[in-house]
Amino acid sequence: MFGLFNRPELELDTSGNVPMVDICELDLVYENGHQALHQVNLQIQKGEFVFLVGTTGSGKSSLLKLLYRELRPSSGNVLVGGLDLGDLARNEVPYLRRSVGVIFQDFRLLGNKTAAENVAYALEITGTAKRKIPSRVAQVLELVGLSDKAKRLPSQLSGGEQQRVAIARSLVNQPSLLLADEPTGNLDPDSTWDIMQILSRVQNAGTTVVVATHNQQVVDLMRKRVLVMKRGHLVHDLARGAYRLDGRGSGLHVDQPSTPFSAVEL
Amino acid sequence: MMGYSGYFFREVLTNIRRSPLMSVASVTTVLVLTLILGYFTALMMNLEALAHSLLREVQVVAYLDDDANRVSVAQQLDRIPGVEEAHFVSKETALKKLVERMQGRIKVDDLTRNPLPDSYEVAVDSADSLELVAKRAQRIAGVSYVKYGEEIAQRMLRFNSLVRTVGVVILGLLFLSTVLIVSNTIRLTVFARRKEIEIMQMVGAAEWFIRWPFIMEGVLQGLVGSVVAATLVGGSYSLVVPKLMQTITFLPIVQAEDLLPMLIPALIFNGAFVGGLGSLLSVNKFLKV
Ligand SMILES: Nc1ncnc2c1ncn2[C@@H]1O[C@H](COP(=O)(O)OP(=O)(O)OP(=O)(O)O)[C@@H](O)[C@H]1O
Ligand SMILES: [Mg+2]
Repeated sequence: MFGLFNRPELELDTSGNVPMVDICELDLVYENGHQALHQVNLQIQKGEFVFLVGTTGSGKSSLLKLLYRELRPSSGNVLVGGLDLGDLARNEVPYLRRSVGVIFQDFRLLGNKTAAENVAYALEITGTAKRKIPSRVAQVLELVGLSDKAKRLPSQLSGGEQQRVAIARSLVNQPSLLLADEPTGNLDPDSTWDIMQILSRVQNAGTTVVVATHNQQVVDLMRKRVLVMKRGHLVHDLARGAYRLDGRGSGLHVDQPSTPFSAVEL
Repeated sequence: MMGYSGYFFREVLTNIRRSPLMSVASVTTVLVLTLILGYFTALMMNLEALAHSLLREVQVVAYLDDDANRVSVAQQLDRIPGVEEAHFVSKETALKKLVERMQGRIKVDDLTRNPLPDSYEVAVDSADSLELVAKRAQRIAGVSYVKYGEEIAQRMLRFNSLVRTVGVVILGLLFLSTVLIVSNTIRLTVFARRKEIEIMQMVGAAEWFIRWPFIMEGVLQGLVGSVVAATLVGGSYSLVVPKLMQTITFLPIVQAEDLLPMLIPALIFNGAFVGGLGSLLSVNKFLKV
């Protein structure tokens, strides 16, 4: 009835035979003519943890938006789990979003629903059987360490706790890919560390994680793969990388540049 | 499906509880517009009935030659498409009628012979056939000449189609403005929930899943508003019409029991439809892919 129940066949290939993310000669031009991304090529394998760094306006959020089909590429291809997002029909987008979890700096929780209800909501909308919902919710709240605060409203939780609810919500549909856009931007160092540990655990459970961040300390300490963006170009791709913004201008200095890159000078 | 409808129902109730003033605004909007629509439709129906009753008076009269074969003329008249019935009026009857109409100003005795011809009064199925029937009747052997209320018929026809056109246009405009006004009223409630819609889309809710609670809310508000309005229209019509019929006997007023069984369900259905459509339009404004 009205496209509500005839779910389009849409499965990501999570076998590991294809990259989780496969971006090829991607350009992104906004409607006002501003080109936010230039010829980006990138592959992320299943189960990787990747940091996306770069000065403000370098195109991190734009890149993430392409991965959950908030935006369409202007040219080139964006494949997630073997699925070309440029070809995705409008009514298929919701099903992609169930396989791709997203969290943001501002949490985006429903203020009139409790922590547990916020998480349950993501299950309700996918038509999960009612009796299965409470146990699934309890499970993910446990994973983020919030079992004791399940009945609180977002306004009764700290920023870090709210972000953990958001993570629980993003995980409850068991996504293959988790995208985080400055997830710790509003958080104190302790909460930041909590969140990063949770994301790390998510990766260990087999989910691919991509985190856009300005937090140099986190990136330096965690020693994960680092993608460096500059003015819409992907300028460095570092295995077990780190980054540091020093006092000289806005230059971005990268330790141990492992991958040779011809694209753009730093 | 049960799981879904439970969810939708809860959503609708929560929304109405959360913004009762908005619901009152939408319901009132539908109510007022349905009242206008209802009374206007009643007026239209009566104008149509009037035009029809006037047209029914119009008929074709075929006058016969003195030596005409009555039976053959009748057979040929019957064969003309559009003819319902041909009624023979003898010259004697015609004279009697004329004398009656003159109310004693002439007397049959005054006349040495009857100057009137025999004739057929031909009833036609619709006013549109008048002209054609008249033309064909004229060609029948034994018919000396044919008369019909040409002028009146034309004017009535024009009046009838004018009433119909103007009515349909006004009804259309009323319907459109109802949808727009309702959708604007509902837009405010949707706007208040745009963050929620964004979040629903982010976590992968299908578009129709997002739309349904809003549509149901609109339908419900439309139903409440139009049921009240239809009751008012129906009540006042059945109260006023019998009184009007007593005072204005010469006008063919449409009886309450002929109008309301059709008008009331139509108004209620329209209200529900307009509420749902208005909701759909406004929620679509906030769905982006
Ligand atoms: N909707 C839009 N229309 C036009 N230009 C846009 C739009 N959104 C972003 N931009 C521009 O695209 C470029 C990249 O923006 P983006 O948000 O991806 O940067 P970012 O790396 O996420 O920055 P930050 O670190 O500040 O979040 C910027 O120059 C920005 O001004
Ligand atoms: Mg950003």
